This record gives sequence, C-alpha cells and structure tokens, in this order.
Amino acid sequence: MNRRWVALAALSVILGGAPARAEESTDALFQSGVAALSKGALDDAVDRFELLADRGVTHPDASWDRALAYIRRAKTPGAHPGDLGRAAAALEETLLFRPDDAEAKFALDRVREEITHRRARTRSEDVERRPSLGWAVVGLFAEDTWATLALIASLTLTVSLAVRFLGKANATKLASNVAAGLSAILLLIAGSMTALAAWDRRETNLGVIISEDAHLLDENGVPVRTTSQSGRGSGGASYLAEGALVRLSKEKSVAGSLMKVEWGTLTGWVAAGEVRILSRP
Amino acid sequence: MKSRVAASAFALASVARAASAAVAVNGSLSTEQAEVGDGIRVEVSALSDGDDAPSNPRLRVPPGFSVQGPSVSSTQSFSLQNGHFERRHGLTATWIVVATAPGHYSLGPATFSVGSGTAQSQAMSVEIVAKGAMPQRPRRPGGLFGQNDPFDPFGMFQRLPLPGLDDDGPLLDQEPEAPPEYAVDHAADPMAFLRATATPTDVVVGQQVTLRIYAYAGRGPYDEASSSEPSRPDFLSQSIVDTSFKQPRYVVHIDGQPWTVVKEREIALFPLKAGTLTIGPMRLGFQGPRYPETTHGQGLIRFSKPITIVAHEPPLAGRPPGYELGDVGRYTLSAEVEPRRVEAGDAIAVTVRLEGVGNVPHHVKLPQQNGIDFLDPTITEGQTVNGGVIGGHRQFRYVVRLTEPGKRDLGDVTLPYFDPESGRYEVARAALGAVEVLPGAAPVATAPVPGTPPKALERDPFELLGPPRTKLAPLAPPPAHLGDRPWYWALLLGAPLVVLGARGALSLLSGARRRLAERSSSPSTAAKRALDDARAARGRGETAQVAASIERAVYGMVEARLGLKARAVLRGDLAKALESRGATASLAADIAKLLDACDGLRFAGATADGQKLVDDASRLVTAISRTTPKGGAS
Repeated sequence: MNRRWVALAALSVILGGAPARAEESTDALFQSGVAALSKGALDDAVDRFELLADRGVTHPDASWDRALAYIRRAKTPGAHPGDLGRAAAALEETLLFRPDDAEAKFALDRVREEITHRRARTRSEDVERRPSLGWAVVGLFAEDTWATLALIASLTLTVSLAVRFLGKANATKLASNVAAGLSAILLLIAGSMTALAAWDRRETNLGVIISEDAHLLDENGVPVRTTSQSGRGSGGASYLAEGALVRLSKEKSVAGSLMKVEWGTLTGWVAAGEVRILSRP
Repeated sequence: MKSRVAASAFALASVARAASAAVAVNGSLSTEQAEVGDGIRVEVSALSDGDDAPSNPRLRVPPGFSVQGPSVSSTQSFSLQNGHFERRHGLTATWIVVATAPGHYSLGPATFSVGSGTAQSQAMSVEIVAKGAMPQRPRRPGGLFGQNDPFDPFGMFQRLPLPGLDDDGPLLDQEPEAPPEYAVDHAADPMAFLRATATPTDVVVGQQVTLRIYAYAGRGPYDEASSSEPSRPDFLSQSIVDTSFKQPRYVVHIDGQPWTVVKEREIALFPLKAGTLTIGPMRLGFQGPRYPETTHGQGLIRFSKPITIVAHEPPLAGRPPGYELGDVGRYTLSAEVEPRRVEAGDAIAVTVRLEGVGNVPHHVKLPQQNGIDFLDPTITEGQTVNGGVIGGHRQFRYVVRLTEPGKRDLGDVTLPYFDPESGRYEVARAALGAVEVLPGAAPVATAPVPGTPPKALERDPFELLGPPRTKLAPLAPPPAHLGDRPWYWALLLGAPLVVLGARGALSLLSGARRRLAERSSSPSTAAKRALDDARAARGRGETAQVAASIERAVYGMVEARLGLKARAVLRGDLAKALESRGATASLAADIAKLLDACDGLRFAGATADGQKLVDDASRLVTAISRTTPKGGAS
C-alpha cells in the first residue's frame, strides 16, 4: 500500500470519523471523479482521477476508475490520442497493487486487443514483441517463489552436506552426494533469479507507452531503423506499440527529455512524454 | 507644420507573391514635405517568407531628382513555430533623394527581385517647396556629432530634415532620450556588440519570458548582415519585434563615447517544460566602412550571450482538476448561447470567448452530460501586445446537439489556469445557462436499401467491463519480499557454508594432529630426545647411560637417513659402509670415532669427557640429517 494511503488511513482511524482535511480533499476528489464518470462527463472524470494521481494517491480502485474513464472516452468522438494507452497504464498500475484483480486483467486484455485491432488498420508492419530470454526466465515465477525455491535448495544442500560428512555407509554417502549436487545447482539458479528479480524491482521502473506513434530513438534522439524482414537493406523506423509495458532505465540521455526503455529484445530511447511511469507498491 | 514632424513618415505596404513566397514590402519617407535641395530619405523594406531572399532593390524617381544609394541591409531569421522551421529573409534599402524643382511628386514604386519574380511597394507622394519657403531651422556646423561626425561621413544628415533639427538648442539635446532599457554601464566591445536580456529568468512553465536583444554600434553607420536568430527549442515563441527596420535608433553615451543602439529583437517566450532552459546567442554582422569584416561579406560578426532560464512546474498544492501544464496568465471567459428553446435533436450555437494576458490556451473545459453533444469548435483568435506583454483572445464557436427533452442546464465552461503574479490557481468560468428542449418529431427509421446486405453490428470490445468503483477498498499491506530481508541471504548462503566450514575445521584439526604425531616419531625427534637423555645422564654421572643414549641417537639417525643398520656392521667396516651410503669420508670417520669414544666411555668410565661427546654427537646427528643418501635412500 502506498505510504501516503497508510498515513491517511491511520489518521482517519485516530480522528475517529473526523477525517483530516487532506483526506477529505482526496476522498472528495475521488467521489467527484466517480460522479463525473457516472454521468458521462469523461473529460472531467479524467481530470479528477489524473489530479488524484498527481497528488501521489495510488490506489488500485482509483486506477481502475481512471482506466474506465479513458476507455469510455476512447469510444467517443471526443477521444484523445493515447487514451487506450493511458487506460492500459492505469490497469497495469491496478494490477501492480492488486495482482489478483481479475477484472483488471480482463480489461487490460481487452484494451490491448483493441489497440492491436486499431493498429492493424493503420500499420502494416509488425513490431518486435518477444521478451528477452533473460527476463523471460526471471519472470517465470514471482520473486518470492524464486526466493522460496532457493531457500529450499539451500536447506537441502546443508542437510546433504552434513549427511555426507557424518555418514559412514557408502550408499548414504552416494545419496547425499547426488542430493548435494542437485540442490547446489538449484540454489545457484534460484538464488540468481531471486537476486535479479529483487534488483529489477528496486532499480528499474515500469512504464506504459501512451502514444500511438512512439518512435524508438537512439541516445541522440535519432529514430532507430530496423532491418527489414528479408534481412536485406534497412526497414522502417521502429515503433513501440501503444499500451506496451516497458522497463525504464535510470540512464539520462544526451539529448535530454528521453527515457531509456527496454521492450522485449528492443532497447532504445523514447520521448519522456510518450511513456507513463507506473507507481509501484 | 509638416516638416517639424520629420518622423511623420508614412508607410505604404503591398504584399506581393513572387516565386510562390509571400513578400511584404513596406516603404516610408522621412518627410512628406521638403524644400528644393533637401535630402529626403526613402526607406523600403521587403520581407519574404520563402527560401528566396529579396535582392536588387530599385527606386523609380521622377525626372529632376538626384538619387544616392541605395544603402542595403539584409536579415535572415529562423524560428521554430509549432514544430516547423520558418525562415524569413529581409532586405532594407535606403535612398537619399534630392529634388531640384518644386511640385508634387510621386516617388517609387521600389522594386525587389525575389526568386524569379519581383515585388514592389506602392508609390509615395512628396511635396517639394521652394528653397526658403519653409521656416528656417538651425543647422549644426557638422554632422550629428560635430565636424567629424562618425555617423555621417558624407555629410548627408545635414541635408536631411531630421527630428528636432528645427528646434532651438544643441541637436543632441533634442535627440529622443533613450529609455532606461537601452542603457549600459560599459561597452562589451570597443566597436560593436549585442546585448541580450530576458525577464524574468525564474518562471513557471507557460509564463512569459521577454527576450530583448539590442545592437550597439560605436563606429558610425552600418548595415545589418548575416544575422541569425537565437535558438530557443524549449520555448514557444511569439515575436514582438522581429526586425530593427521600424525600431527607433537612439544615441547613448557609454564610457563617454556616443553609441547608436537599436532594438533588434523582442520575443515573448513561453517555456514548454520544466528545467534549466537555454536561449542561444543571436548573431549579427555589422557591415560598414569602419567595421573590419570578420568574414568576407558578412561584416563584423558579433554574438549576444546565451541566457539561462529556470522553469518550474506550478505548485501541486491548490491545483484544480483539469489544469493543464502551460496554462498560465490571467483570463476571463464569457459565453453566449442561442437559441434557448429548441426541439430535441436540434442544435444550438454556443460561443465561448476566452481572453486575457498570456499565451491564450487553445482549449477550454466543456461541461459534459448525456444528451448534450458539443461538436468540434470553430476557433478564431487575435493577439495583442501591450507593453511587451502578450495577450489576446480565442473564440470557440460550438454547435451543440441536444437530444433529450426537458429543461437542460448546460453547466459551466471553465479554464483552470495559474496566475504567476498572485502565485495562485484560478478558474475562469462562464455559465451557459439553461435551454428548454421540446420533444421533437420521432426519428425516421431508415429502411434498408433492397439488395444490400445488413450492416454488421459493431462489437463493443469493452461491453463486459465492470462498473466504476465507488469506494477505495482497504488494501493489504504490500508484501515484504524475502529478498529484502538480510537474514534471508545470510541463511541462504550461510547454512551450507557453515556445514562446509565445520567440515573444513575438522579436517584441519585432524591434519594437525597427524602432523604432530608424525613429528614426534621422526628420526630427528628421536635423535634429539636421545641426546637430551644423554645430557641428563651426564648430569647424573651415569656414563654408561650417556654412551648408550648417544649411540641410540647416532644409530637411529644413520638408519633413518642413510638406510644403514649400523649396529649390525663391524666397527672396522662402519666407515666404509657409511661412505657407501653417501656419507663423506670425514663424516664417516667422525661417526666411527664417536662410537669408539662411546665404547671407551662405557668401559673407561669417568676418564672420558661426556659433555664433549654429547656435543660431538649433536653436531654429527645434524650432519647426518643433511647428508644426501646414495641410491635415493633416505
């Protein structure tokens, strides 16, 4: 839970129903956003939920409503470019705070499908989507799953070594040798994955592309061109798909106002305004 | 009197299209009335928006006029407007014409070549009167600055009806006083320099920064050449003064010397983002006989200094919903709605006018309700500059469809903005009021055209999404990851390492024990122990025991080192046997001699020197232990 929310909740409990001014303001803003959303004032709803986010209030339900406001606006003639990308960002944020939110998962899938559907109408070229092998392996399990596996492997290795050193019978020694070897390998792998996952969580931000045409750039802001499918000559400029979840590095660009992103096997820079950085729990 | 207002130049402009570029041509005269023989300055400037620069200026004059010139100055400016580069070329030509007979004359038109076409000004009228017909003006004996006027080397200014020349008093006293903004304490360069100022330098995103650039010339007249605009990629810019053509030229005294100064640019800049933003230098070439050329054809090049602006985002505290970064200034909204009574399905017109000071936003916040549809607006706009401050208005005309009957309150049109002067957010608001929507005729169902397939139903991909969430449900505390706990990594790596460490420690311990045992049973140790026994026995006076201990030490070492069981060898053959095992002849002899001495000690008793024998034995044991055995035996 966001620290601000914890503080606000604690304050509310302490005051026993006499909410603090800050909480009143936040809650009132949320409720006014919900009211605007309900009566179809989508611009107003978006403004209110965005202001909530600007104030640092990150809550999966507020993110859900923000996503809904963007999705509904994207269906109207008054849609803004990037509405679906912003909806995807809000839903990703919802899932970061509440990973088991099935409704948000479903909505995120629908949003991505719709983006793909719309993109297929305007762009013939496909974009690279495969995740990098390293992060795909890290992402096989949750960080704590890897951590638990590593811990089990460590304990198994410890016991195996102890039996190996204390045991007298050859069969015991053989069995403990095999167990120690396997658990050492498992410890190496699971421990590395745990460390990588923890580093990734602490050191990299996640973002979502909110522009319909986010060019992949080099450090100097020059569009990166991809090799054509045939492998001959140069292909077109590389685009990052709207709604794509990207990893953001903390590196600063030479040209300024650029953010280094990693999307699948693609690495490059995009204009900062084309990425929405996600809040993490 | 007309001639007293020498600056009553009138401008006649024409806009011509030449080579697909828009060219604006402006002409002006220094006076509309002059005497025969007086010089009249004709200045015509052409400004082209295209790639082709105006060139080859020509002025048509009536017969009887003498013409000097033209004196030409050119400019080139680049500006980034809405993501597109705009380049403009300017050329100003100045002629001095002198009439020889009174009358009404038409000067011009002046023509310029632009690409493959031409552009021309309109003709300008001037009245020439007889010499002395106009009131006399005091004349200065020299130029503006005396006999050696650096600004008038050809003495033409004396013939020009310049401002204040017909007033009493010294001419310089009559020069318009330069406003304080032109004053500088010291010249940045002895010949010419550019000075750039920006105010304010600490702003919020969207707040106006006014950039002013002045050119100071200390060596008389010059033409402007090869100028370039200051770069400002992080700003939206609107020119207030984009050329010095129409700007007044003042004389200021710097370090006691007269300098001419003119404002080259005045640009309103609006920061587009937060951060430390840089305004680049402007370049200008001072081209004239007294200005050495930096580069051929470009005059004396001078640059203004770059300027740094710090832009912040407006504060988060108090920010109203819907505020968009960059909406800064002071604005008011007004709205008109007509008609106020319509049938459902009909439309009304809503006109919203946003005006104020600042970079007037391109948008307003519309009220949104079901059954009220605002279509895209038609926007008209106007800009004003008041004292260097940009302002203006935007008018949004909406067609609004009302589909649900009843009395409908349209709500308010709003614009949240930040007022940098008060440091607070404000919301400009205009109430649209109510409209009565009468039930209209039922919509006519359109029958399908026979033979055409039914239109496929559009699928709503989001129809199954859940409703808005009306409450912020309590959240479980964020999971504390195992990887964030120091004990986790200690346990992960520590547990097997502890076992391995224990095993290693045990191994070290047993190894030490083994080495200790081996050391205690080694020949050297045994020999040393035997020699100690010998010394002890000698102390007790047990000579036989001394001899036995020495023999035990020597025999043991010989056997261990040389592999010879010396006790089994006859004493007479011992030396040879030792030599055959690698001992030197002297060592072998000494060993045999020592053993003989031991025999003597055992049988002679106290007559032998026991201490010496022990010392000899000790030396020999050491020598034996260092002997390399033959045949690899050790």
